[in-house]
Amino acid sequence: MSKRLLIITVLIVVALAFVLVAARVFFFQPASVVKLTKIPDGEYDPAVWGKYYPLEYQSYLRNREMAPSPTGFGGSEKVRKSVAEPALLENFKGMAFSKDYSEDRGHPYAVQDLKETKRITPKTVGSCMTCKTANLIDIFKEKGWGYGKTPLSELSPLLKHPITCANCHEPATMKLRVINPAFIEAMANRGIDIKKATREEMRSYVCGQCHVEYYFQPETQKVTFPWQNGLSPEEMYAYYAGQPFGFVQDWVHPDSQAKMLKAQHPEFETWSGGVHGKAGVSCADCHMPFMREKGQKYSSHWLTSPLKNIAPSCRTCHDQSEQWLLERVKTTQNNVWQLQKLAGEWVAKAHGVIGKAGTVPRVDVTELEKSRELVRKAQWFWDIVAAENSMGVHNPDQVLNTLGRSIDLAHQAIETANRAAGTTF
Amino acid sequence: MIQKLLKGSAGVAAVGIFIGLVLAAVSAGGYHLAGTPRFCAACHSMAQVHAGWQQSNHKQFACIECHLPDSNLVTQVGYKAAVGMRDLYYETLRSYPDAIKLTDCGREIVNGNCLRCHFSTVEKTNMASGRANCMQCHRNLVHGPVLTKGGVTVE
Repeated sequence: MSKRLLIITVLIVVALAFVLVAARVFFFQPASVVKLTKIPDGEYDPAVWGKYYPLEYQSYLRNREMAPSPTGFGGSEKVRKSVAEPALLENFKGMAFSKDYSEDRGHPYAVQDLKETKRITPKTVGSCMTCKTANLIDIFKEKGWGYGKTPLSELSPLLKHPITCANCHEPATMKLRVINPAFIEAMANRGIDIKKATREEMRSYVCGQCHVEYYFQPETQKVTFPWQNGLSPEEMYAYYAGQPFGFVQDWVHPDSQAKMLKAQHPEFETWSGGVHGKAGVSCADCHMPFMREKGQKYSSHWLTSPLKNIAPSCRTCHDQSEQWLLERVKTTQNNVWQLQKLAGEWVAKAHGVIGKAGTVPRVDVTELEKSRELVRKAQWFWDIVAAENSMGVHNPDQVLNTLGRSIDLAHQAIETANRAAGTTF
Repeated sequence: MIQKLLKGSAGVAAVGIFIGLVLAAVSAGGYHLAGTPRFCAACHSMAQVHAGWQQSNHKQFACIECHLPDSNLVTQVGYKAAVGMRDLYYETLRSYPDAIKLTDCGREIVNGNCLRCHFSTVEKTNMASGRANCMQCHRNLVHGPVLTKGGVTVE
């Protein structure tokens, strides 16, 4: 009797296990769509959005993590960049970036870091908060471009949230959107209507609305992208040469007296000419890969190095092993780093030589002015790479070309200054 | 009644043969069913590769024609049982990787099946002298790099 009971029990257990597995595998599959919940307009708190989009929100919260990058370049810790590249202090002498210039942390820290940086003074203009907060939406709605000239200290209390969901998503439909008016205008000037962008294009535009080179128009402090001629370092430099809206320089270098430009994180421009950009691989394809949680597919909102997640980020297209892919990126970055450091050092040297040449009596002023123009360009070509967050990986061949030209221009600057003064510094 | 039937060895043999036939039929049917692309695609994790295959120029071939070893039935059944159990395990726990790729073993099997049909194409080339690795170049032939069923839909 007990033997029969045992057999029956075993049979029941086996049958139940079979039913359970079959049910999980064949009948109750993970949802393949995310259920839409409308978020009210003007809700910028990511925690509220997160209640309805928990997987995306959980991954967004990882933006708070502060860690070095897997390759050793970049990372999300507040490390002063001049530690690894002391030439920064020479090249940005006389301007705010010599006071405070560290690795950028994740989006959740954007407002906090804006308020804490030593680059900010009581005279800092409102334009500086453009890309730091979702509250830009309301501020722009209310003040239009007038917010640019408003002192940052006046806008500060309005910055309740950093870069959050609303910066990139329509709250009612979750469709991708861009909110930075400067990006929309810059694209329109290039004949691109953002409203007609495909989803795949939007997967880069949401990042490109901020991860770009820009300047403030002197009169209005309006944020403007130098894209009229194109997105390459050369084309952007040519744009600035035309002194757009009376913009001549960001500052004058105290040693060389050259009228300098400061480049800002041109990730979008750099990527767009690179092999991934040209092949139509979007920013989100690598930086926001599709992940799974209990079989449910979601797009990672942890915006970080793809190398922290090589399988979903790279191996969707690249068949090589994770180690192989990591090594490839490291190789590129090491090559770029060597030339970047060299370029920065030669530019610093050029500032010094031009400064010394300037003190020589009866120096050829026209020639000296030429050397200042050369060091301005040399530094631009170095900085447009140094300020970019990928150590060249977004476009290795262009970046190495840019650095090579920077080194050449710095040498030309030194030669020209020496010729002007008849010296051999 | 049953006892009556079981009387004598002929009865035992008859029942044995009957059960054996039924088991064989069920196994053969099950094995056949488990070899259809529909069966493979029943798993959620296979949705993407299935969608890519449907658009490829190898869509007339079932999954198993490339993914089971080009070998005898015993090896094939053994292999299918082993990887089937593995897949079932991950599918049930839903812990399969974000990007599903071939294992080294799986890659060799697929490669062997490329050559099963296409060997004559490469036999007089340098590729035949070494170990031809078809997928080093033709890796996107069937499943493609394009996320045909990619994206996350919000509805």
